[in-house]
Amino acid sequence: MNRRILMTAVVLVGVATTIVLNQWVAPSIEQTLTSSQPTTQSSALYCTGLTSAKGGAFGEVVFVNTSDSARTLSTTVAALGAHGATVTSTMTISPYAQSVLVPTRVLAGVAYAVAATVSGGGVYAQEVIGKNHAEAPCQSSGVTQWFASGLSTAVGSSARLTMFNPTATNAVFGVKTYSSSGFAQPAPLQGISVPPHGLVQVDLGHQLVNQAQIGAEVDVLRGSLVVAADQLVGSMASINTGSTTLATSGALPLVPTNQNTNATVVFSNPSSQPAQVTLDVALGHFTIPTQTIDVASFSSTTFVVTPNNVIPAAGEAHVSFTSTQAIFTALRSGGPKGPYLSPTPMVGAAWTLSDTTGRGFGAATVTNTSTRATLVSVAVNALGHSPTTSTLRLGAGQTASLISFTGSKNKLAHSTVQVRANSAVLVLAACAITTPRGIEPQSVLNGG
Amino acid sequence: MDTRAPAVVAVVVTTGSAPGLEATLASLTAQSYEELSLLVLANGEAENVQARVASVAPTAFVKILEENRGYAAACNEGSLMVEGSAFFLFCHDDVRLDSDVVQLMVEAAFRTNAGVVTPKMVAYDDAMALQHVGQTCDRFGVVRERVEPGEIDHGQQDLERDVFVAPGGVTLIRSDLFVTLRGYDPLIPIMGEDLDFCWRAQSAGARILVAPQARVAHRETVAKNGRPVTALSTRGVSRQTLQRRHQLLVVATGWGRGRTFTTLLFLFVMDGMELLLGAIGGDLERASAIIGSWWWLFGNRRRILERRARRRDVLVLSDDELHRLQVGGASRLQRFVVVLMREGFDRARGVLPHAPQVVEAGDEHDRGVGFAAAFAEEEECDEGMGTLEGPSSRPARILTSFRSQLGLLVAVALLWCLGSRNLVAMHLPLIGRLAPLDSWWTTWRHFFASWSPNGVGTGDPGMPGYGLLGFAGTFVFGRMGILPRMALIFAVPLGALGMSRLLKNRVSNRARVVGVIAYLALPTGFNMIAQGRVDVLVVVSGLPFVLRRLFDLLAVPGFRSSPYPEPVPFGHRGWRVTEAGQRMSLIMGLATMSAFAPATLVLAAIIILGVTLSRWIAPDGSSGVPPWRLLGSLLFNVAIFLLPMTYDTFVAGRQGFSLFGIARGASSLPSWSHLLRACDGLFGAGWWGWLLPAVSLIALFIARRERWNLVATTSTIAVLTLLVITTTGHHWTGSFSPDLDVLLCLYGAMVAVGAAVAVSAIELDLYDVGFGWRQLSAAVAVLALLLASIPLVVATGSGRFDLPTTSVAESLGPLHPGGNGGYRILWLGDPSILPVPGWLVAPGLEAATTMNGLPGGNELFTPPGAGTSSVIINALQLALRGQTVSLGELLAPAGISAVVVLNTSTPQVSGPPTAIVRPVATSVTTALDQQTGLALQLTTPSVSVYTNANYSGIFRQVNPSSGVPVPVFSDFSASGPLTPHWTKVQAGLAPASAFALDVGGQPTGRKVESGWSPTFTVPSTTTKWSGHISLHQFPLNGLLALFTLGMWLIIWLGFGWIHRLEWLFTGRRRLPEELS
Repeated sequence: MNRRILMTAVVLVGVATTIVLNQWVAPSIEQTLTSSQPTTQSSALYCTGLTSAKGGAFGEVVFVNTSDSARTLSTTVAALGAHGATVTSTMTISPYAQSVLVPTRVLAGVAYAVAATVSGGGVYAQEVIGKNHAEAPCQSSGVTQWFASGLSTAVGSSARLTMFNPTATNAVFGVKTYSSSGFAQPAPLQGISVPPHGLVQVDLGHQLVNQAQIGAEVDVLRGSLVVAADQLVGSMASINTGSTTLATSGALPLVPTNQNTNATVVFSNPSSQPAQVTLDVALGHFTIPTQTIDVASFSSTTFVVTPNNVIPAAGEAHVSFTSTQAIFTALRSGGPKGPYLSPTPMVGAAWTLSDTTGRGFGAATVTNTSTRATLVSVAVNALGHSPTTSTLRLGAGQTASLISFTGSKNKLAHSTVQVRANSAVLVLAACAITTPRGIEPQSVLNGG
Repeated sequence: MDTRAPAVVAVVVTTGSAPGLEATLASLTAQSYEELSLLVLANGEAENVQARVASVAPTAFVKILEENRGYAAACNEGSLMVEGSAFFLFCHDDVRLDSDVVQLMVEAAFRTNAGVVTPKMVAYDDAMALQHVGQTCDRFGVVRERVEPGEIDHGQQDLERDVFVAPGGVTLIRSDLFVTLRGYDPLIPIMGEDLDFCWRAQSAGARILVAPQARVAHRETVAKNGRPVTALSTRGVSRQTLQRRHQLLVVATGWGRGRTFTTLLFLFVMDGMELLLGAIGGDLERASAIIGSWWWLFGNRRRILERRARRRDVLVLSDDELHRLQVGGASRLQRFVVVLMREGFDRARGVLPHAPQVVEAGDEHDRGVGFAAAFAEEEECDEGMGTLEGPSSRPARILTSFRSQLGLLVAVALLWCLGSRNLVAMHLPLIGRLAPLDSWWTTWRHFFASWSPNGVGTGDPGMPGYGLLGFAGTFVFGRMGILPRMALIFAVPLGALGMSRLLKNRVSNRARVVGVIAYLALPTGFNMIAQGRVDVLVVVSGLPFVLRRLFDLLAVPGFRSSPYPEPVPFGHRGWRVTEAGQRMSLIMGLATMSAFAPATLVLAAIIILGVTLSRWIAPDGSSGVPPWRLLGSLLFNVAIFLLPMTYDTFVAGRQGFSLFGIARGASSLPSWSHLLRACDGLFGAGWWGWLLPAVSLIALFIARRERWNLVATTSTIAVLTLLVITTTGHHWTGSFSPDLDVLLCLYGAMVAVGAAVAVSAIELDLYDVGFGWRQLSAAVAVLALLLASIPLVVATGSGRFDLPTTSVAESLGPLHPGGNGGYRILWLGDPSILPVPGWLVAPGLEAATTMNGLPGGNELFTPPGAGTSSVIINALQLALRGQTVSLGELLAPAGISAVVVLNTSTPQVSGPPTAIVRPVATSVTTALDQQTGLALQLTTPSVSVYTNANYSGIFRQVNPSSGVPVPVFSDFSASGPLTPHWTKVQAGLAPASAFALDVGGQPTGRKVESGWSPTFTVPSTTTKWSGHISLHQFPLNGLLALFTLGMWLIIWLGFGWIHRLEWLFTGRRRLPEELS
């Protein structure tokens, strides 16, 4: 009898073990492939949003080589109004060096897109608008869905979306908008085709007249696109590279609160349910009560940080928010000359901050958004020099100044900073040296 | 006074020792008929005939024939020696005539004008027991008696009447008739000469009469195997063969042309069925008799024509008139069916029932029902005529009789035929492993080829599966398209047959039937048919046979109760049943299955481990061969039998584990509930899929004694299988990831065995325990078994077991890139979806290439190691990691013109799902979308197709000014014109060292680019040369293939064929005594 019981028990335990073990999820392709050490064979960078001088967003593309080897770039410039013509050239960037490409010098057109194929990894790029130094990072791939908030077609403002197709596949997209007047899906903005390696520009002002807060959603029905939004307010131009996902929480680390500045956070809600957004503002030693706003469904709403009676003027505030629905946001910050438009910083495992204008940074912070402390590797190199690496320990929710940590006396001018953690918990933010402070956000490049 | 009695010459043919000769002669000399002369013919080796005859019949004339050419020839010889007689009385040498036999027979002949008269034949030792009172026959030449065996003579057969056949023994024939018909046919030396003569006599219009007043006792020593048949042309031939031969001859020459054709056709069909039954039942003697008889008929076709010509000379009766003298129908078939229904299959086949088992003291009487028990004495006890001691209960009567069991099996077989009706002729979709096979010759060539097109090409030896396919194709006369259909239709029933043999003598026949139906109803078979996985279906069909032999070798309780026979030399008859022979049979079975599904070797290891573990947990006191030695022996020998595959595996290194299977993605792994139901597809996913596993589990609780030992073993194996599936499916064993569907075959087989054991346990193990949970669980088990068969019925609705009628691959538009140069298609998808085998890129993503179009017969098997084709795998991995955007450029040297990403093998339609969907991870399509050189041509929920903008052909010539390669040659030919002054020709073929380019008949220089691709330097000239790329490779693969074939042939000879074919070499035929 004992052996009978034993055998039965073994069989039942075996079946139970099978059931329990099958609760584990087998590793996915992404987990399997990214676990091994990469050696990039080639990478790509796509930049769009720059225009001709007449277009108001005239500028340049700066390539930053953060690797210890020279990199060869094959750049292709495409332009709207060039009748399909493209110009391809090759450049080589030395280790830890930068290189500049001005599209207007290469090809004549109205709006530009630059595609660069790099013979390896470690190269990043950002667009810099000449007159007001607004920056926007270049992308490494196209996307199939894109969101950008804070656009305005009010009097004196114009908002244009530039779509660049980096692949050989004919792409098709449609645009939806969410504004204070509600949802719009203009028919002329649906099913627009973008030829391979071509670009298309859409002026939102033609469909949405005199709208102050617009959230735009681009859905790519076929292929993938690199999308950027040009926001012109008077003489101030910004390139908003938007985001690819919605979020129920976020953080804006460097929101200016000083006198003579303005800062507005624009929330766009694409869902069918209203969103209740709760904002926490951390500013020095001040205790600021939690703010709450409601964002109606399919619409956009703003929260003015500066000027705000509740929020004192005391430097850069750290604004974090949570929402009951997935939303997308943008920060409009500026001074007397006009606003800069920047998307909400994303959370990642590695970021790169590079000074491409030689001015340095007014502030540069790294925030740990997780609930556990994390070690952050910080590598700083001056242009053309090897980096020096140190480790920074960040507590849960802690923000640290990179300028203070690195002890840089020149505010990281002509320098590149790379931060890296073990998991995607870091938010990097920086602003230029301006008066008043904090009104000009600097682009942060995705380090991987 | 002169008598007017006609002269009768009694011709007695004696052969051998003839112990009854004296009695025969004495009865003839005692005849009251006066005009009777006696002629004794000693056929061949008769002993002391003259002295023996002289002692009893001194007036008899004796002639000794030098050779024994048979009874018929001797009679003819005797007739030639006689002149002036009115009748011949042909007698055997083992008869005893009553004193008035000749008188009565002659009177009957005169009275009725009969040409042939036969007496009443009685048993030699009992004059009251009737043997023959004339005979009749049917149109197929099968003789039927007019009396029942052992019938007592009460005068019921004492009327003179016409009969069709006068049986041999004592036959009175009118001399003129005998001469007209040219006597007996010497081609029928014995056994059937009476039928033949009487048939011809009937055709000639002669009457054949039985004179029942004349009584003859006949010992029938030859017919009853009392004496060997020693006629010259009968040596080495069995009685059954002789009888069949002569019946065929009679039928082939006894009818007119039309009726001969139809009769022979019917007879061919019936013999075919009998051959099949004989083969199934292992009745090789019957099978060889059938084949031998038809072959003999074919070999004597000239004689047949001569006989037919002679028949026409004497023909009086038409076919219809002749047929009216016979009995209708097919006697043999009728007799078979009657005996089958009454006495069972073994009796109907002529096999005696098994000896009754010895009941050991203390053991309960086995109440298992069997064939005989259905109509055994217990039936009378059922009617209350007897009393039973001990427990008065007995097995339930449902499904106990052979008739009911056979009826159910026939119904299930018909159901299966109904369910597979459309598989016979439908177009087979390009899914699973249903890629169209090449021709028979081309398939053999793949086995011997020095190069195969997998990936970017490989010089690895051809996989043994090609050889086995070619061999199988021989039996279908090269119609290779039949083979996958046969696998789809017959694999599962063949496996069910194997399950029946596995369970034979281990459980009751009722339980066997349940086990067979359970095996048929398992989800594994249906799902593999629906997915076109003929490789797994090979495992489904062969696994029970392998299981039986493994259990025998491991002495699993109930499987081998007696030791193996004494060893027999290799190649001799009887070697197969020895331990060595059984082991070799197992090895060959495993090798055959492993050639198509190498994961079968993992099954063997699991089975051996499971038996060992079960024995360790619950010792059963038995011990077979040491398990690890057996496993090592099996693996080693299978590796030898599949030497090309073994070589490929070793050369592949770590990638060699992918021989057994490629890891699936997380989303395509069955959940635990699907695993427990042995379900990897659409069939079996419902609640009813739990029924059979539940019944199998119940068996573990209620079985006792040897049944419990068996179910404990099978349960251990089943659990082990599940654990292996789970650990390998979650990639916890690294690159070792055996094919999940093959593993599920083993699990399913264990469930079917468990179901059969449950039935047997219900029959035998519940009677002496009190009423409780066991009885309740038994009731649940019975109900579950009834319900479990319903899905089997439902599955037959489509007529193709839901095998799709089309496939995504075929529905794609032309993938030809246009232009020359040849092209490859890169297929990406889950390993269970792709219609062509490939290599692992990442778990859940397999990559494979096809050359110049859709998958075909040259891409059925892939070596485990990617070899040079790793360039494609590495490029894909770079793209998936985001480390390249130039995938198109990286794939261009391989001539890849398009990348096809499959999410399902069949186009999706609205409504209930008709095919499994196993989409690739979105990161794959995202990565491909980001490649600068890949353009998305088509995207649907089923498939995405990207064309490669950098494609430039497999064969290309480089423009020296632009550096851009341009396709040259054609898709199917590696030769063609070259552009003058373009000095560089590239070929996307590996290995580079195996290829050479000849330009204008001159060889060119070669170097390697990109690490693998051959590049040839062509002289710069204005002449428009023609180039030709050819393969230069030492035929090592062919030699290896030849060696492998030789190995199989040698081992096949070991199964007694050396013995049988010895005469080919020695020229000496063995005598029957030597053969037996």
